[in-house]
Amino acid sequence: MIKIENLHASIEDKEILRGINLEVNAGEVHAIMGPNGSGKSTLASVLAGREEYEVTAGSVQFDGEALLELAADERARKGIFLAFQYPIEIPGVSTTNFLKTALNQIRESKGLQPLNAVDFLKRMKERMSWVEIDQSLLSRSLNEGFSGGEKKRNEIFQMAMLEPKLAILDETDSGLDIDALKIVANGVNKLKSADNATLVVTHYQRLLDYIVPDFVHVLYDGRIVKSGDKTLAMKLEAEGYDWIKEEMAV
Amino acid sequence: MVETLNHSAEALRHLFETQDGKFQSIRTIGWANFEQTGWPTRRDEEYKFTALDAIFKRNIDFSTSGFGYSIGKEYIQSKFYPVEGHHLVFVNGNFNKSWSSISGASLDISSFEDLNSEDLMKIVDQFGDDRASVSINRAFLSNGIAIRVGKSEESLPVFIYHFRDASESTTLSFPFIHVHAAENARIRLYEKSFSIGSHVHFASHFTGIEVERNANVQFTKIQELEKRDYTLDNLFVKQHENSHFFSNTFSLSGGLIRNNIEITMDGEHSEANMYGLYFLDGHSHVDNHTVVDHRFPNCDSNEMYKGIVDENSTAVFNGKIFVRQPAQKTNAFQANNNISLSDTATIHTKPQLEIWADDVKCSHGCTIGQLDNEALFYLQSRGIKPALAKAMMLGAFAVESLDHINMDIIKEEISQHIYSRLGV
Repeated sequence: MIKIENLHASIEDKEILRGINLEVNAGEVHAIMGPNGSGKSTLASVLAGREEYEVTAGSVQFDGEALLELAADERARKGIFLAFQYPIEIPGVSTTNFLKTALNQIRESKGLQPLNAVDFLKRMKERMSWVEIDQSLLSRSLNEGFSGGEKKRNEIFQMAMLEPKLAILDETDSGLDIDALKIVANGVNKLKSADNATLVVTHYQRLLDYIVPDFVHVLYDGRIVKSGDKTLAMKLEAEGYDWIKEEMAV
Repeated sequence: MVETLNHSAEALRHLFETQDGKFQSIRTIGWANFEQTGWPTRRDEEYKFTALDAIFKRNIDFSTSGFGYSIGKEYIQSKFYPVEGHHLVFVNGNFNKSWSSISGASLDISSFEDLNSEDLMKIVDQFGDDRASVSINRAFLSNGIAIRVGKSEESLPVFIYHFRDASESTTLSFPFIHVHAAENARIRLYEKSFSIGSHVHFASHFTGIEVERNANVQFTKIQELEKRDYTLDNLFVKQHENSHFFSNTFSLSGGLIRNNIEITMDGEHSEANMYGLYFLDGHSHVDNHTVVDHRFPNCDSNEMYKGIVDENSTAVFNGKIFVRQPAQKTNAFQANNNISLSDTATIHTKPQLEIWADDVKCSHGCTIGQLDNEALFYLQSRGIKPALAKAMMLGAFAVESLDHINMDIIKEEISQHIYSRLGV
């Protein structure tokens, strides 16, 4: 589905990603772990098309297409979804209206008719229950005055509504208590299918108890330095990142 | 080189001299004041960014102007909002009773022609000063109206339509509206102006509103005018104890618009709210000058003006708040937030607080900015195209100003206007 080769990216002339190689296939869940400052969020941002980052080398193929050539909105219409670490508050735009617009733009790009009001509401109702989000929250301005947990649930709700091919969860667990974490993970698992894939970016292993990864990669200093299965995440949880740093220093 | 048009007081003299009738003494004083001051220039601090003298010199030839019109009743009444209420018609500044539609008895509406000289004099003398835009309105005092809501009455909504017909030649209008809300009375007024024809139109509006004890007055103004339309608008408000006043000012288009609003708090526990939105493009120039004068303790004033400026337009905002020594426990809030969409648009914004009392809460803020890039990225990251994302953000910013209007049909009209200009 997505193939990242030798990806280098900088921000303000500081190189953050120094040659990432990663391939994710449909039906797979990959976790990207790593200490603070290793480049995890940068990777998520670069894939989503955030313009502050400059890609200096490498390529990303998404469904056989050169992803880096596309603007953020084009990527989203092709099926990339970034669940933000810090979702943005937008006064005056309701979540409902925003999602209707987004969904219809995605449908239009696929040559589909806009969803009618009845079908849209039905889809909303169903998916609201997946992340236990309340209707009253959705008619308010997007994320405005939402608690941290509500914002994260709203991210997963948007993901459920838009049904991306590749969902990138950027530190979705940060700031969540265990109950909220379970709800968020539950939503993600509900969406999992043989046709889509998930990239979970996280510092801690605990989210991975609920969203079980097929592969775990450790990002350190802008490169993937270790890959394995979920036992790697457990080792990191038990031993921290120091042993990685030591190995790298040798 | 631009031809110098005859924009001066001298060019208006022929019109002044052909006037007659019972308004003559008021007109004479107004004319004398106007002749003395002339139009403000940029040396006048209050008109630094809206130098009327220079603007009129470039755009208006008063020597060929008049009051003639050709529109008729049918066209006019087709513009009425389909809402139960009083629909009052002004054509080139004169109230036209037979084309208006006044329903029920909750309101007393008298045209100036029907008032006796003494009552008229009282009304005209209650508000105003000798600034040029007030003097010129007096000098050409037309058939204005006095609206009275009786004690504890609640009026049906009042819609005031100003038709500015410049089909044949340069035309002028000098409407005068006086509103008196008696104790415990409630009234909502909605005023809209229409540009008709292709010639230049100059208007000088004057509105005076007295809000008695416990009364509640809401005044909404919609200025959606042609580029060849020049407007000076004065709104003076006097509030008594425990009264509430709201103004909403929407300046959506026009060549030049200068709005002066001056609110005097003349009794304790009163509240004034002023909201405004300007959305400008082309060479539109809109200037909002507001004054709230807190003279009594325990009063609140809130002011929020928002603006979007594009292309070569200019917006000016000046908000004065005076808190006099006796006005302890005043709460005064003021904000003016602008978004500029063009490198060639201009915004001048200035809060001006003068506080003599010591136990008050006053805050003010002015911002000029672009759209938030993070928010735009967020919308785009969900598949929304950049132009649409931008329009959604601007629309959201602008329509927030509609929250304070209690008339759905007008909310809907302005919201549609905004979104259609944004291409949504």
